[in-house]
Amino acid sequence: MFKSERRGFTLIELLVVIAIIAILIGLLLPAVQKVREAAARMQCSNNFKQLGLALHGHHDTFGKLPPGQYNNFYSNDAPWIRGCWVQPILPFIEQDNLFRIYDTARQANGNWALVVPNKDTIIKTLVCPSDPNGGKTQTRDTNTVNGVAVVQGLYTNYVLCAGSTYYTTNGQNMNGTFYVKSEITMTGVTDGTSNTVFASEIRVSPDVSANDLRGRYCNSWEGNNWFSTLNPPNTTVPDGQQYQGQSIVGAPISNQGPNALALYARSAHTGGVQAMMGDGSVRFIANSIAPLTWQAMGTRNGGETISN
Amino acid sequence: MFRFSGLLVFSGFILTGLLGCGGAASYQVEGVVTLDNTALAEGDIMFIPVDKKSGPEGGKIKEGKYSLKAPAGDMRVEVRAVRATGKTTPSAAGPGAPGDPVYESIIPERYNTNSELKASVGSGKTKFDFALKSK
Repeated sequence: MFKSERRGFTLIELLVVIAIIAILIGLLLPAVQKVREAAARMQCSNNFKQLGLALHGHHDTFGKLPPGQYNNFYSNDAPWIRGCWVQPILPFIEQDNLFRIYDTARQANGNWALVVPNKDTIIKTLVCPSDPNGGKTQTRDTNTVNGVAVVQGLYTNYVLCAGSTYYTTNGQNMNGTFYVKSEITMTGVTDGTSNTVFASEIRVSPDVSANDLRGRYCNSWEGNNWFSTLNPPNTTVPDGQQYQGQSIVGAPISNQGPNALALYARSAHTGGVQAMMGDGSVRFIANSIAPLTWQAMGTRNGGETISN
Repeated sequence: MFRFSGLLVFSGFILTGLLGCGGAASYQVEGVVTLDNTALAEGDIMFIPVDKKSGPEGGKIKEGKYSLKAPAGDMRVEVRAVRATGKTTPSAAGPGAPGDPVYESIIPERYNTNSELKASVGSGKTKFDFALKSK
């Protein structure tokens, strides 16, 4: 005889168990995402420390910090390098080979940094792991040089601080530490290196319908590797640039005339950006920082003190 | 009964806590910007709190309309818009090399750098139209 002694699970019991498992997974998943972001932020902060060491290394070797950018905005002052602070610090972030390729090509090509090979090498130290568009090397520029489409190289997430105002007309003489032809020494940072922001981050924008210059280091000509502390981190005010630009969520941009140009610190981290002070320490700056404090941190010689 | 009132006090605490977290209220501000009686096709508008306790809020103007979130309080308002002059700067790389487009502002400085525009944002005060004159 067939005896149905075996007792199965009722549908309700199964559903309850599945529901419990679903709730547990639901609890766990956000935690995993949080840990992932925390890890990315730690890596980002480590990148900033490398950058800090590199800037100090440059200062130790040459007696001054690298210039924010070599050429005036929108002019053809010689030598026309179109480079920025990234090239001179390459040897100090263990990219000596890249620097040599750049330097050789630059001397052979009438100085222009854009025409050097290997400029789309992804320098991990300059890319924030939290930014979904980090490590961008694609560009939508339709310009050509001698019939060849221009490729613009790597776009970095990390930018140096030019000051607390809009960029000046030619990009020179700003109140921060890095601007056109700047040659600031550590003693020239009279607010004190631990009170002055040297570097922070921006969000890289993919070129969907227009060319976005923000973060481009090999052909920088309007302070696209700097930022200003004029507006607080992750501000709703769009960045201002003369040339094209592609707005994305969290990083709007507008075309502006010469007296309203600036990039602002932005990041994909939750609630703020990381910033590296002149002494190499890395701080997390909340979006809600008092605007005047953030501006004071951006200047190298404003005479302000910064609490905390 | 005691237990019930305990619960009431507890929920009171929670409520105050939640309200405390709300912080400064922000309002959805909107309006129309015209230049010489024509809707401004494209541009930027900024609401800058006069007390500087929080940063400026920015928004884009499209076909004259703008919309942004701003905290309550007195604001200095700045409007910017540009047009391409059609000129480009010469390039050192020779002919065919990318020249840089030259933009110029079409909004007088009294509406941005030295702005006279003001707005007082608050409950029921969220609609601000600005009629700008180029001369």
